[in-house]
Amino acid sequence: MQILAYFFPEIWLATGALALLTIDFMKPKARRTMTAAAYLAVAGALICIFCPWWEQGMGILPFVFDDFSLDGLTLGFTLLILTGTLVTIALAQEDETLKPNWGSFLGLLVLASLGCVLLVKARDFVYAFLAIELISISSFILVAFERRELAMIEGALKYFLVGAFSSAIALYGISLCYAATGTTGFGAIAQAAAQAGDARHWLATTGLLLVLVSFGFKASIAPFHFWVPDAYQAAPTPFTAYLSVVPKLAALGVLVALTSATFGLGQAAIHAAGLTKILAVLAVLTMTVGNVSAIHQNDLKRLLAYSSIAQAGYMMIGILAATKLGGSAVLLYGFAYLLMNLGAFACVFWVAKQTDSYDITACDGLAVTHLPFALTFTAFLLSLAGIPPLVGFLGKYLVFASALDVGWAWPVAVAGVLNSVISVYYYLRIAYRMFFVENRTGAAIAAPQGFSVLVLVIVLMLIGTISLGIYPKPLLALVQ
Amino acid sequence: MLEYSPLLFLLPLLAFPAILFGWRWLPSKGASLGIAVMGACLLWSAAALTSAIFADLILPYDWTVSWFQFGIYDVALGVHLDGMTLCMLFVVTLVSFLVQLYSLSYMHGDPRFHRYYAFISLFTASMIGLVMAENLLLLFMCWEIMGLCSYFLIGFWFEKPEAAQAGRKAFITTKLGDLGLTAGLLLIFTTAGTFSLNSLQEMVKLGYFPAETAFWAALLLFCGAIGKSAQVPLFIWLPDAMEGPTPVSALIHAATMVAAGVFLVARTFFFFEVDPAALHIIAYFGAITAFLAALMGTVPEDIKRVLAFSTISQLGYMIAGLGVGGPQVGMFHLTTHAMFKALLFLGAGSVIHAVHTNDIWKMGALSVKMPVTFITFSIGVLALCGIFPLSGFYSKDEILHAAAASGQWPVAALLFITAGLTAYYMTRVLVLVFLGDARDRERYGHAHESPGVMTAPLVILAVFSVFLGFLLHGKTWGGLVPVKLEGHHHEISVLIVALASSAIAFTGIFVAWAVYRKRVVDYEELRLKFSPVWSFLYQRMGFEHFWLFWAAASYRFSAFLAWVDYHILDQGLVDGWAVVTNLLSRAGGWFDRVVVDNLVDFWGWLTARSGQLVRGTVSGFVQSYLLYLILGVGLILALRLYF
Amino acid sequence: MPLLSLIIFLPLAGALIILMMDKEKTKAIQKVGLIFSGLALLASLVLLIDFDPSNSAMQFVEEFSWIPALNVKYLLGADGLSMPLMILTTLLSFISLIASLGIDKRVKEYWFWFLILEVGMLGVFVALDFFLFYVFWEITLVPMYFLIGIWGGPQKEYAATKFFLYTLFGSVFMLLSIIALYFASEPHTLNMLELMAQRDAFFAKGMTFQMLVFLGFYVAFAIKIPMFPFHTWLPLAHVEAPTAVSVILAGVLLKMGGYGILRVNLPMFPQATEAFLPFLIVLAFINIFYGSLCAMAQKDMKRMVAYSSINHMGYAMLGIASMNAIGFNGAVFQMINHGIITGSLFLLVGVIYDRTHTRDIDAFGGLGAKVPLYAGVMTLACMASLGLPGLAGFVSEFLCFLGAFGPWKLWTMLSVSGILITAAFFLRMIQKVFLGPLNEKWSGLTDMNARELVTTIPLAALTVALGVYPKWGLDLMNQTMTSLAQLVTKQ
Repeated sequence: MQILAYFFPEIWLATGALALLTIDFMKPKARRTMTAAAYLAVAGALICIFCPWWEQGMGILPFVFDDFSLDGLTLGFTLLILTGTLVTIALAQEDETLKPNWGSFLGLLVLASLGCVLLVKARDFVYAFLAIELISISSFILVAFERRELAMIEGALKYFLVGAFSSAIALYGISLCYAATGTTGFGAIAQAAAQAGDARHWLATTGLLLVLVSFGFKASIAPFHFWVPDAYQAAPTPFTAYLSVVPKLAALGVLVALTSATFGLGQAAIHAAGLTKILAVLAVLTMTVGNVSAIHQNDLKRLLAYSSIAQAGYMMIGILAATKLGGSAVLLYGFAYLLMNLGAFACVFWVAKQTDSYDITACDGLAVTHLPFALTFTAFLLSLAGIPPLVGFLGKYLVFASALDVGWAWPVAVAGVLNSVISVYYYLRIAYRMFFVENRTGAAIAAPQGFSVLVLVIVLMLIGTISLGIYPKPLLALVQ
Repeated sequence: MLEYSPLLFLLPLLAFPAILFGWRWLPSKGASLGIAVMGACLLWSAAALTSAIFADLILPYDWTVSWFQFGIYDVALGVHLDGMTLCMLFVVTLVSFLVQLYSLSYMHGDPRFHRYYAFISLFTASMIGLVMAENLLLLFMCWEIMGLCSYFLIGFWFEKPEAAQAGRKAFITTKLGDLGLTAGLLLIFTTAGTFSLNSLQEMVKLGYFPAETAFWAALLLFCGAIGKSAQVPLFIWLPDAMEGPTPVSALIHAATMVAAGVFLVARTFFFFEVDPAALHIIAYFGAITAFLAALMGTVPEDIKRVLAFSTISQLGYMIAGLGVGGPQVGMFHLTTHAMFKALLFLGAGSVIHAVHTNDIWKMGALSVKMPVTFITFSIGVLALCGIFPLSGFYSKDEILHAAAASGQWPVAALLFITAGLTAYYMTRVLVLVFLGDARDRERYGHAHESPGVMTAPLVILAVFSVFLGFLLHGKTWGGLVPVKLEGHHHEISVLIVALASSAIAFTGIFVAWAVYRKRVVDYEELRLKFSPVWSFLYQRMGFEHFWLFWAAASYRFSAFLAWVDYHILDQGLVDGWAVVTNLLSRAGGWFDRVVVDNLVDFWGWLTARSGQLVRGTVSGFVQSYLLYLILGVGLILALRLYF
Repeated sequence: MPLLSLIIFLPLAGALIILMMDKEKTKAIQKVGLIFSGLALLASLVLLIDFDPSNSAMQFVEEFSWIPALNVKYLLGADGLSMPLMILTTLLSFISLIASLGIDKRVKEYWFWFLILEVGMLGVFVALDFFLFYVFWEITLVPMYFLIGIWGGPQKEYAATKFFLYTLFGSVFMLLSIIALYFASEPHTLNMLELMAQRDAFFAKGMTFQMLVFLGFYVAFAIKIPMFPFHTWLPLAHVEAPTAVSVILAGVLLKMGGYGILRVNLPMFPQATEAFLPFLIVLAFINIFYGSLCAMAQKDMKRMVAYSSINHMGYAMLGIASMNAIGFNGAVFQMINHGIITGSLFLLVGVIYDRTHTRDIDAFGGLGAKVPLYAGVMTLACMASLGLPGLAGFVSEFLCFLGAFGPWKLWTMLSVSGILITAAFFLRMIQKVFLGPLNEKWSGLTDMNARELVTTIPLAALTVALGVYPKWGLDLMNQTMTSLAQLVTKQ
């Protein structure tokens, strides 16, 4: 029973998902009930995270098994995942196209989140693989959820096929690891990888790399990012927002777990496994590809898709550092990313709802008609670009700090800061359209609406982005 | 009374804003204030000079007050008064006072009348400040403010493009010399850690100041004098400076501006003394300037331009005098020259006022119409020619004597020849303007004697031109001048030099008289015969072209740099990166579109044909992505092997 | 009373109030902006009275823990280096806001961004914690981007983007250097004063480390100053920016670079400074020489003044490279004077541009008789800028030369030539615009109005006052500069 308490969130989520699907089956019109159930499931899970604490206080952490672990990082990432899911549900409420299959959307969403929560908790490749598959299968369906156009199905199909392929690779990698060590636990494999020199070492590291690819696919790390723009564009916007944040952070979370010093391996071992330098190359590649590709995007969702690729690249820096600082840097960056990226997607969603267009020109002249909105959107973009005093800067600061702390990784940090300069260019392109360009189309944008969930989401994200940027003490306390 | 000396500087200085902003509320548009202030200054300096000569005044007088600090250094505002200073102050205030008086009539009705008086006040104030300054920094500041005033006053009638151009030329040219002066100041301060002239003099005397540094400091200071005192090769601004109102020319050429350079050398003579080489250098500079300017003075038809060249030539004398005879000799000539040069310019102004032209060929026979101007002008000419017993004779003779005695034969020879040339071109002007026939009857008909407010200054200056030399001669300025150059190599009789110089001067006068009055030769024919020489002289011996060439070249260079800056540095190197990034981005897009799509099509075609996989482009896309996935895995494995 | 915080956050309060206001009520918005900026000015003057110039240590220190996990503190303090720059900032901001009263496009946004900009600038000069410093440093970028981009000239978007990217490019390297210093210190700290005390530890980490970190900071500061070859954003930004923004850009933003070098590079990395000194002096010379020559070739008045800024900041760099108290005094004083003089030059160029909608030097002629007041003030500003004695620019330029002449005779001598070139292009401008026969096209031109006089006359008066009696400015900084000079020469 004691142990079960640690899995209350998962139980809640699973129950919630099943309940949702059941309601959908029984009473497909009961949308309010379904919404309430979804909030209940996710919020309940969120509360459940803290259950063990109430019982036994903070002293119980970390709580480590061979195949699961509940430490600060896991806790943090779980918090991220559930918050992200909550926000997604709120966004989805505003999307009329989701209404016909509301229950299944919510059910699958909660299932995907369940997979994410499991993933960050997993310390064994088999569990991790299962969790990934849970995420993937739910996501495949959700990407194709809005079957209005062929392109959307196409995007979903790509996502599915590429995903399936990467799963196969992961499975192969796991089998290699198993062949090398006779186990699928992270710890044992990492230990094997750390002992350089024998055949087992080679097998284990190669296997690790292949698994990495699979995680990289979820985290949209170059060169496994090709699916991202298509899938993001195809998916309903709330789910795009979800996809850009929740599964990505989950995958990054498990990568942190894999590499982090909390694992007891430390920098030297990972370094010996030759993983860090490859990770460094991948990080630089991811940032650069994401940023450079984003420059010429005119579709807001595609632009943010590439931006999210680049953001993953920055977080990779913290992972390759593989120190405690690096781990908390990634987690903190995750929080910042959650706030600003969901905020940005919410803003894009808002624009699209007003103008029915995802083209960048939809933003023209928004500063004149909707100054508060334009300022808010700009705040999210600047935060993504890492301009202080917004929370994104704090994330970047910690990530670069972790690289410099390691010493040898300073060129990655240099690449990172240069990339952030490039990124400013395309983030500012949106601000540029809002502030500098007059609205030539004359298409009157609706007057500012009153209260809506969407506005609430945007405001909350904005408050988070600014206040945590200025006063990050609670966030940092949480991260550490 | 000397404790009031700072007022001498402050009063005209404050008169500047008072006139500039308060002219509406002042009688006669502020001119009265300027004249009153200068009158008071004149009275003070006359009294001080008199009591100094009659020796009931303790000199030198020093007074300082802290100005500002930087680091451990403290710069003081200070006043230093000695015989030379007092004498100079008297000259400055006298000429300025007379010029302002004269301008009442000359500038009457000018729309910017008040501004004229304001700047004259500032001009004089800065000269007074320069003369009294105890420290080099203050001296330099006054020096530069004077440059600014000359800019405004020369370009006073700025609607005339020539005037505006002349003002700018004066400012820039003197500024070129000031670069050297600035460097000299830097060198001196870096070596000595002070700007105080008294301390510097003490240090040099006691040998704390390295001799070599002193030599370089002297030369750098002299650079400033080259610019301000219009020595070769920077004299080109002075002939143009006559674009300003004539009284301003009188002020510039007599008592301020150009005198400042000579005064600077005299004031910092202790640097020059250290190494005789420095003295030789300035002596040669002076002699060459004197000679070349005199040559150039023989050709212009503009009366003021002739006077301008004569100023340059006489400045050469002074500088040479400093080089061969020391401050006493140089400053003596400066003093007497101030009187008769102011006289000549004001006289010329009176003539121009009457006939409304500067061209001497359009004048003639004006002695009848303007007797006072004629007589005073003649006195000025004779004084300038160095005819006994006028003041020019005494001062010029001292220089010639010192030159002859110094053993610098080329210097002496050039100065002697110059004396003859001076007599020649001044007589030419005198003859063409006042004697002979009236060549332009109409202008002659309108000509009339100037009003008393203009002729009175002429008379006063004429009196000084006559007697000043006699008064100051041989008295070594009442023993006021602290420095006297020792070590003459050759004993030359004063009488021989006097006779020789007089003979040369008379020769010059005679030749000019013969050519222009008696017409023993036809000067038109002569001019045509020597046309290349004439035009060479007329074009200022190529100095003008030389500097214009450099000005144009530097402008072209700047245009080139601006081009480089914009096209290469900015658009090329900086924006180049943006372009590269953009290209990368586009290349990414192109890669997506062309390579990926084609690959996709190919793959799709292949798959469609082979029928092994699902048909259609949709799956084709995915397969290409899968392909990339495989490639990516391969890449990572490759990296794995590499690291 | 936490005066420094008060000064920094008064404009922020104003900005937030403006944000809440109805955008139609332009008069009220302007009033609020002026009040808060004016209060900041007043508060800074109060600070000036309380300031003890004979003390070279930090004064008015405020210290709170901000982000304990990262050892980040909210740490403010002012010494003889920050104090004058702070006064300059509040003064120029206030004056620029008065000059901005004429802006009638999107007033609310304009005043909002402007006040935010003031917050950032003030913060940079008093922040003593590197994290805080960097935050303020970057805060200045965003408002500037919008101020240039929305209210600027024809190429405004290009100029704004270029400004943002270029300066950001520099500052990200600074960020890396800051982080590197954090890890190099023991215990880890971001407190500038503590880091300065620990500078031997940086040396112990090896010359390469020190030089890399030095360069990281230097690039950021050099772009701001701007030093050749990082200067090309400046002419563009200046030309496109609206008048008041140009004033701030030249008057304050460029000073952040010089401030940074004096505050960070010199005292923290004496060995690296020594190694780079030959480059610094040559670059200073290039700035002076190249900047002035480029200015000479310009046809656009604003562009010319912009290039003259490059030249003038070169003097300041010359003073900094002197590594002695004279040069440091000169450098800081030169930054102040340049702020005042170039600020008024930009205001004045704006005056004529508002009336004629051209800045082409060749398009004018003979305006001196038409608009005598304007011609007078403009000439005064030009003369001050070309370093005429008796006006503020002279003393500082001269001190820079004086300081640099000791160690760098040749380069200083060469740099002195900048004076001549500066004089040449300013006089050329005066001649083409004011002198000669009146261009009949402008016969309807009116002289300066009250608002323009209110903005320019105080600056002109300051120019004369500081030129005649530089003690007012120099005394503020002398002690700090003297001890700084001791600090940088003591290895």
